[in-house]
Amino acid sequence: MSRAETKKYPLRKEVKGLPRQFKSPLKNIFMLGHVPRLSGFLQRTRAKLGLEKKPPTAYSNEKALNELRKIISDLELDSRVLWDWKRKRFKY
Amino acid sequence: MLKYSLFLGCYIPSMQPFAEIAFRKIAPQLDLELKDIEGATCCPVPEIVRLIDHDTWLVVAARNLALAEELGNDILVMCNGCWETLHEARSELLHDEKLREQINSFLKFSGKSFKGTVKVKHYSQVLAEDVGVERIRENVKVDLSNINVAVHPGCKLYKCEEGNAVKYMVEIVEALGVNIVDYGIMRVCCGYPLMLASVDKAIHERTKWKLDAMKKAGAEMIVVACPACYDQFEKAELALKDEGLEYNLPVIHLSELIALAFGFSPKEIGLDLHGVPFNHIFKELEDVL
Repeated sequence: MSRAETKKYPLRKEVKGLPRQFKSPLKNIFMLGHVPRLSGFLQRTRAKLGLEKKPPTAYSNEKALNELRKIISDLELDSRVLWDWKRKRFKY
Repeated sequence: MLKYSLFLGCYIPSMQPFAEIAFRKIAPQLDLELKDIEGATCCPVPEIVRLIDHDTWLVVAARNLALAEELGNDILVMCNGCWETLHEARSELLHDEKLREQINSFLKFSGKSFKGTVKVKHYSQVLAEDVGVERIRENVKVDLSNINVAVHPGCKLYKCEEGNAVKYMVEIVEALGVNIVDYGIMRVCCGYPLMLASVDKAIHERTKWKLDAMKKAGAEMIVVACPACYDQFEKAELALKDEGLEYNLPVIHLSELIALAFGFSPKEIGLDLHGVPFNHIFKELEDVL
């Protein structure tokens, strides 16, 4: 639910606990900037195929990851889904 | 030379690099110059982030679009989900100035802003509209007419406003010379989004339905344009195999099929890395390669 929707429908229940299936992909977005992990095996496979081990995205770009995390914090997505940055997990 | 900013998304670089290498190999033959979007993140995934928080979905998408705008070329997207996010977020932001200002205010700290200066194109659109189906046909070196394929465009391509993306995909596959089988339910979703609600329902009531129809129609492999559909078909085939149902329908990305038709060897583009093996297809290819 967007902030505008929250104002428009003040009695509508906000998302607090996430559906179980959403937790793992969302955790990866917070931690890696992408949904799946780029494993060591896949990095080697990429190299064998002639690709860079890691693409030049958030997988290898700390600045991009930090920008994404700031957006998540500024828009309070982390607190809305009860994400604990210190312990790197959901609070439930 | 046609220049594009390449948006690979999450699944292709981290789980299906064969689709990426295939596209990078065919690009020069089609006069396509691809620039990586440095610092791109998850698009973000519409089935999850948009449902939880629409504003975060828009700001992260706007950041990815702004990165491509800095490069100055239209965006070529290789994933249907990323295409949906970037295309729809761009459309929302372009048509609502107030929203655009509000979303850009969240990007100010990074010095980026969404302006709407570049278009978002699925790679089937680039190949058909900008490169041209005839150009693809001219580059075909290998006769694949013995191979029967089932085309699965993926339901998101049906959201293309002009309604062309699905038509383009079918036209491109036809141009490669393979034999397309009509299995009757091409429009039906592979079941990937349903996995978030029920794995059992997604596999047994959706993917299996499609696999049964494809097999019955005589397909030998499935051509997809989306990494999520690829993942769903492979996962379902492997899960159903444990239940005694063997389909032996390898799944191939459109980019890989083009590379095969252009004469790249299966090994060169990583076809041996697929979960459902291509052994029987390789035997047929041995005669022509």
